[in-house]
Amino acid sequence: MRFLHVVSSPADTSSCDQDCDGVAIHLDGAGQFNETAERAILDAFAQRPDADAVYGDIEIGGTVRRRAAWSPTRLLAEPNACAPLAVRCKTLAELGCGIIDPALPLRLAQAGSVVLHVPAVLSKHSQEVPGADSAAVNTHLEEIGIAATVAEGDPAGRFRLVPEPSHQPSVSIIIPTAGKALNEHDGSELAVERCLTSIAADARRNLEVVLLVGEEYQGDPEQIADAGLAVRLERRPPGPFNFSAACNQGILAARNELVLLLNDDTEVDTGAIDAMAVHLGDPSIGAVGALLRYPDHSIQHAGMIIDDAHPLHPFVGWSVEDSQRFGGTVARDVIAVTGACFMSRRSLLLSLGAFSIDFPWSFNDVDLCLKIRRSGRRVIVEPNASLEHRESFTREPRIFEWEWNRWISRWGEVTDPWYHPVYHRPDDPERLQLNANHLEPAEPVDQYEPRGTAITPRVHHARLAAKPESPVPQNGDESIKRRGSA
Amino acid sequence: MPQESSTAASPDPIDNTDPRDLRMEILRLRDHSLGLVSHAEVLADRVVELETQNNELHEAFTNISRTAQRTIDELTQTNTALTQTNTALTQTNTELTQTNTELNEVNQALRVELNRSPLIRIARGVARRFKLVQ
Repeated sequence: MRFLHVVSSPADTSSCDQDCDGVAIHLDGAGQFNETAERAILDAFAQRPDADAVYGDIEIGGTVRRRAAWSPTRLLAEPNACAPLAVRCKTLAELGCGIIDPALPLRLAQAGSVVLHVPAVLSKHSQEVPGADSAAVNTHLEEIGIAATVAEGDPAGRFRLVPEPSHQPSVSIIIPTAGKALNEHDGSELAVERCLTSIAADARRNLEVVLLVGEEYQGDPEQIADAGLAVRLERRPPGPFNFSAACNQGILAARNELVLLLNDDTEVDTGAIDAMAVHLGDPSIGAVGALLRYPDHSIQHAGMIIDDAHPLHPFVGWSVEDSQRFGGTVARDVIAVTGACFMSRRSLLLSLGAFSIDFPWSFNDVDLCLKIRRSGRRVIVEPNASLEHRESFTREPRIFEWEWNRWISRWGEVTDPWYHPVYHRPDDPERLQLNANHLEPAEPVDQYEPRGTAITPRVHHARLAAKPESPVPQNGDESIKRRGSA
Repeated sequence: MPQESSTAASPDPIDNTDPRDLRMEILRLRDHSLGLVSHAEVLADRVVELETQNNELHEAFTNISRTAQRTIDELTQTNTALTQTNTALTQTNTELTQTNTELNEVNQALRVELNRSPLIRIARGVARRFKLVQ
């Protein structure tokens, strides 16, 4: 890499050809580089010869804005999410795109370019950096196969996807259920019936529901009030409950390509199914998650992070509004989403072996998301799809040591590209109690190691897998985690 | 009203002719295969980590060995020098002992000669006369 060509205005029409071994970046009059920026950008390109573009964190009006790794989905809601972008002149020539073009990030996303994030503040701006307008995003949506347009979102300046009402792909909803009553004392209404009622209230066409019931089912599953939906009952084979096996049985039984795995202790908000399904029109997306709220409206799930090999739910207990500051309300790439509400393609899931029955209760969703990521598809969360989730209603959210051992053995330590490294918490024994607060950096220190989006399993320092694996314990055995963990 | 279907369990999939069980087994094997791939990567990373540690240990041992050898060489040199000095001192000591013996013999001979001297005798007689000695 020879030089960084800083373009400062549209009047600067100098362009490079495919032989140019340089990098271009657009900084308007409202922006300026930090002293380390040019070196950091050129070093990133030097370290990663496969990189097409690089961006960093920015400071706007004195406020540092930390950013996640490259997320084509975030660009739909926040087109300036990675501006200013430093792009190889060769890449610009291949794309036929100018460095000043606000739609450049969308073009890079569409081309499947390798875009790196340097987790350090590289530039300061006195005002918001402009991004693509709604027309450009709508064109992009059409080109990548998403049947939606964008509308002004909340907060202002961000977009939200509005699915085409006429486009309702067929979806199979798979719900494993034990038939528990919402109120244990009167047993009047089952959780699964409330769930089905919420689905029916959406009045969506092209739906089928597959209910998985087993020996533990309390009552007669034939008596489930199906709220007028097309419900099929699948009986699980005898034996201890294995969430993954139940989901897999449902996936095999599903008749539609799009499948939605849903916990029976959820209530689906109107429009949530379409808000998720619309993303799967993009073949690069492999799984979509939703925003799950506790009954008190606080956040239970808004995408997951992995920190020190621990899958965690950020924003737990936060209000949706509070999570906005960290981008918690925009559709975006994440490393994993919860299996409590998980939409994907049946063919993809089957090709990957679906949920691993080695993880009957915990880690199965994160494991599947990592398999999807490594298959070349993306995993995203769409907060516009929201549900109520009574998480602790169905089971104690615990993780057993044998589950942890299996997890570490299979994936080791996976670095989460969408979790900013300055947010990593100190290694204190209470770290698992801090899920809701972990996003506040204590002493942020810029880092300059460029981050891509590849998922690479590496050995975890604990290496618990080296220990002999204990047999699968029954309920009540020792656990290592609590609510808020995956 | 929901329609119903059922699945039977089998202890060994190879003896199972139920298509649903076999499909579940295919899923399990696909998952297992992917799990082995990622587990292999974890192990490969562990191998790299161990190789790095091994190289670091090898380097540390080499440094220690080199330092120890240097110290041993220095001590050997010192020892050789001390042995040489010791030999020289022993030789000097032998020579001094020999000289001492010779001087003692000379001294003894001188004493005998003195006792025989007439002047000594006269001197002793004078001393006795004047009761200078008992």
